Amino acid sequence: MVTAALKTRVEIMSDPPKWIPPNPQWTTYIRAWGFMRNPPLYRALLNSTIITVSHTLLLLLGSSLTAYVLAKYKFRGDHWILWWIVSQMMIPGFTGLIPMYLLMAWFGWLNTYWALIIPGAFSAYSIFLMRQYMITIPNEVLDAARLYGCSEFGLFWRMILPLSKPALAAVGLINFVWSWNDLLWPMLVIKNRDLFTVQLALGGLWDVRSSFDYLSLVAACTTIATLPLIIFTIVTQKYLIKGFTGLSYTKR
Amino acid sequence: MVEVRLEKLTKVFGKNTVAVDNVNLDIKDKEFLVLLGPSGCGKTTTLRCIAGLENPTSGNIYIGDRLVNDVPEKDRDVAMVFQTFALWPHMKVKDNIAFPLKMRKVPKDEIKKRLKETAELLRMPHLLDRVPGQLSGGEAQRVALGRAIIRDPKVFLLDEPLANLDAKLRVHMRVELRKLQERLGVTTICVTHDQAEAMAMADRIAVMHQGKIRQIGIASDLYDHPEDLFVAGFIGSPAMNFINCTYEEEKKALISEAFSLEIPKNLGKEIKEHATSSEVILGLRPQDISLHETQMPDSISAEVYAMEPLGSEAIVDLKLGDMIIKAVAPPTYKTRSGDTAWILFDMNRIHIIDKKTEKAII
Repeated sequence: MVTAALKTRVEIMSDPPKWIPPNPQWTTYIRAWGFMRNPPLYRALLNSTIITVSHTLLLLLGSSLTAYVLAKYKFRGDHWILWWIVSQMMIPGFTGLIPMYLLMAWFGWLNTYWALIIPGAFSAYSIFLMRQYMITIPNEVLDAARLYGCSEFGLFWRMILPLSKPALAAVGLINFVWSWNDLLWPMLVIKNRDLFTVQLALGGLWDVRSSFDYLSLVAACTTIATLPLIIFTIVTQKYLIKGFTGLSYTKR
Repeated sequence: MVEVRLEKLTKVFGKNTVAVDNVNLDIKDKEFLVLLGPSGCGKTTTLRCIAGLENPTSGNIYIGDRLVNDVPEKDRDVAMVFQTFALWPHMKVKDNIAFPLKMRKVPKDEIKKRLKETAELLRMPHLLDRVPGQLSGGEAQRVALGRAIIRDPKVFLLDEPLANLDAKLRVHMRVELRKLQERLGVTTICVTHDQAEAMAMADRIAVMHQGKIRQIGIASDLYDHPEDLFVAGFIGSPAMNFINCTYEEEKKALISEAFSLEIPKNLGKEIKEHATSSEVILGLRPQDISLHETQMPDSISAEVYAMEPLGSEAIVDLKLGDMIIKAVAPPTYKTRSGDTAWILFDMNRIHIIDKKTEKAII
């Protein structure tokens, strides 16, 4: 994909394929910016960024708060709530598609950012993963903070969140990638081309302009659309490795 | 003047797990009191109740003259050092120590000044910029202490403060802790399961068992005059030997399956007056049993079962009938298992405990 964008029309179709083109066509990447008109690529990127970032932040806040309560407080019915949340993981996502669409229609959220930001912000998997991590934070660490004047919310903000960074990074990345790459749901709820996400916009390339002439430009657009994910992964990688492998708090 | 008073403190977990059972305790101003007991005896729960981390099921807690039952932990003005130190791993040492002041919105200059004083007092200015992960056990403990003393608490609570240190450091730190407490003059309550630690640090020791306080006193009181079977067996190392006996009045003697021991008249009188039956337990400290190679008047013969030379002394396990008792001998004492030893009890230092009530008679 990255190199296909650098090839000429003939090189793309050549058999056997050439992996590295002898004359890289760097200008393709520049031309790609102007290639998409409706919506323009920058607009789609902006939409996707707004949606994905706010969706991920909202999800992290919501699931870490839920996970904190489920991990560190005892109250009546706490394990039933956990059971209910975990059981959500067993329901295939597609079954909720139509009801969710109707709900969005009822809220009047079709063709708005809200339809893309809010529904995914509850994630059973994220809550469960974070709860499992938070359970490993020793209670004494929290007791010490309480004793020295921390409020319960301060405890969450000053202790739980910084100590859960690896879990936050893991959950954040999974949802960031998922939200960025999602095609089906945006396709259902967004008709207004100004609000198209990158994936919708790329999908739109298929109809009129999918002749061989434009293949390298399509490849360039797709590469540009993937770039944010790669950058995000590199930035969070330090915590990610810990989040996925260790998944437990380190002592002292 | 900060006294801590517990009145009929009871803590029940779940429906019927009684962790602390009707505890009454007065801790004097500037006193170093140690709660001593085996694990699971409720000592840590008692401490957590005082700190406010647990709500007592019933009973009252006073700090100074104030009833603090409903005062949240952060307003009780107590500081606690946890067994695992419970430092905050994501903060630098200096932020860990300054945190209590920061939470109280103390001005920055003041925090800086107090941080410097505290660091110097605990000899750790070089540690301030590290994170807890880079500290050794002893250093982590000093940081935990620093965090506790920086805001001049009214009461200082220590939960097994030395348990996570290596053996050599532990012996050193118990003296240091004591010195620190004397210098600061803070009423201190310390929890430990280690009697040597308790005796080294405490003004008074409260021995706890199964949620109840069994005896409170200075170290030598607990050692010389234990009030019940548990305290007698718990204090002292090696532990006291217990031998089931029947007291026979005509002979003025304690009869066990292995020997018959004549006792002085006044002891006999005490038993007769206070015992609920003739079934008693004879308690003998290993230090109060002397070993002889030849028969002496009143001596009892025993078979040497095993010997543990410890350098400064030797512990000899003796077989008396089916029982094995321990005796402490001088390091020069030479014997082999299977030999016969003649033993004498120091009659001024024997303990007699009622078998039914488990209360000490003598």
